[in-house]
Amino acid sequence: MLQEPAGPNPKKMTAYASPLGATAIYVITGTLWAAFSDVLLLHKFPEAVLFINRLGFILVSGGLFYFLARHHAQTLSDCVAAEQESAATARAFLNAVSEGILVIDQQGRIMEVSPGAEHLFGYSKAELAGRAIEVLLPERFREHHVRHRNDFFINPRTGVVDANLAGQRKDGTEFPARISLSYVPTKDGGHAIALVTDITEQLNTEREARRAETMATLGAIAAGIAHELNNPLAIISSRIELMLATSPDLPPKTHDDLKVLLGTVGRASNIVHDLLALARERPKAWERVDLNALVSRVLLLLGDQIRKDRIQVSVRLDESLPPVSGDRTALEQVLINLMMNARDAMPGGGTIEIETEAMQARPGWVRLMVRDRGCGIAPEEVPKLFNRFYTTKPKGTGLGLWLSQRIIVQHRGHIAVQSELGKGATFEITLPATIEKTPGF
Amino acid sequence: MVDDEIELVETYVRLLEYLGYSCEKACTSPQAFERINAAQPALVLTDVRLNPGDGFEILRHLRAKWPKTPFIVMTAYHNEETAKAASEAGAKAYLRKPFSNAELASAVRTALGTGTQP
Repeated sequence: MLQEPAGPNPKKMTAYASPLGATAIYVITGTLWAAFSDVLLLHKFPEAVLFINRLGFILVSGGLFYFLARHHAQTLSDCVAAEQESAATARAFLNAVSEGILVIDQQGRIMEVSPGAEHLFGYSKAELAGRAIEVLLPERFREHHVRHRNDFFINPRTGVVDANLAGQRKDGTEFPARISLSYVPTKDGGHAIALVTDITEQLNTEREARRAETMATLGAIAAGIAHELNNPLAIISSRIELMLATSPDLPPKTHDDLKVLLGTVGRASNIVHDLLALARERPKAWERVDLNALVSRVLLLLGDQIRKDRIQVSVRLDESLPPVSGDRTALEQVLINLMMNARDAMPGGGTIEIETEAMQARPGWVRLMVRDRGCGIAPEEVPKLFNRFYTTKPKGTGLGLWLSQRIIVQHRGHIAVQSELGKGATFEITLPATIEKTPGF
Repeated sequence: MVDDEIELVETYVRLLEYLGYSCEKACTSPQAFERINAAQPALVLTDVRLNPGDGFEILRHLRAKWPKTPFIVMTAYHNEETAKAASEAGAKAYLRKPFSNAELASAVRTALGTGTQP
């Protein structure tokens, strides 16, 4: 913490400025002086009245002195109080500044450390006092910084240091920092005052804004391309279907070729679908979403489709599940993606298990689980599953799980997978709940 | 069958004719108005984006003259707004391209089964 500014000592000032004490000293000294000098005078001039007059003068002037001294003491007292209040306010302001403030002398030694700086760097003021400022920089910056510091004291200037700087905490971790320098001339040669700001969040925000802008542009391009592809794909798929339906006498090889073409068109359609999903990705007005209702709705949507693939669904829903806040359509998309993956993992058919749960171990959070007993995922593939364009399926686009993870993260949630090759996979989504479930929601 | 892509119109008409329906073709709004007025079809299938014109313009014309004629909206530019507009206009089906022949056939049968001849 910065030292309290030096100021007048109130106790000392009170002793010196006590109007009654000062007046008493004046009256006693004056009386003794008058008595002493007048005794000498009376010796030569016996008119005693002189002493009485002097005594009267001393008492009257003593009264005046008292009132003046009292006024002066009050003024001094007011000044002391104002100065104390001002110092307290300045200290409160300093303590309230979240940025770190460091005072450095011309030798680069740390003279003062604000609470913000203690918090920022993880050192106490005592640990930093007297040490070279470079202790707060990563090794790679230190040598250059010494030169920079010396230059600063030769030619002091106020402003933000125009460089990509980083601070180093006591635990060795780094953070991007913006440094603003000021110079304060003092009797011992001047000090530099450094205002240190951790700009991690600012950089993240800027990065996110740039990413959002890029994604919006890419999304618009993707949407345009995807839409333009839909018509040709529609023509190809429809004509192939028509050929297969209207030409029963096709040679078997031609028939097989057409089936392959139809399957390939289906794959292209999936890519277009995922591209459009990507392009539509944007912040929407959130609503309260009942995950149990969402599961039921998705089952309704996919029911016929997955039944055809000999897939059954086992559902266990927690009736006490609180709602989450989010984009219902996007969350539906996530569940659809997971169910389609589960289906693909069981080409011979099987059961997809879906569970919802209000998490006991983590109050205020809900869990949605999708499990299959299919082919499973190789351990080396698990860390890459959520990567963009990574797919383990011959006809996959590598966008489904990537997009699902993005959606869940946007909902401040988490998605994880556990899998063992040959034994299936379990995808688990955790999301923060909003408020307690209310009847009728 | 109204779509600005003539190949697509030909494709779907071939399918519908294979299924036993008789079809009129149009690629623009003016062509569509002309064919609808002349043929008074039992069902109208229209794309949303036409050049010139748009599918909803055709539907307004249809609703004004033959309010009970059912129609199906098709689009390669699906979005929630278009789907909502199709639903509010009273479309019997909303088909997102590319759709399968089976989906188209099913939608046509459903629309004709519930619609009324003009």
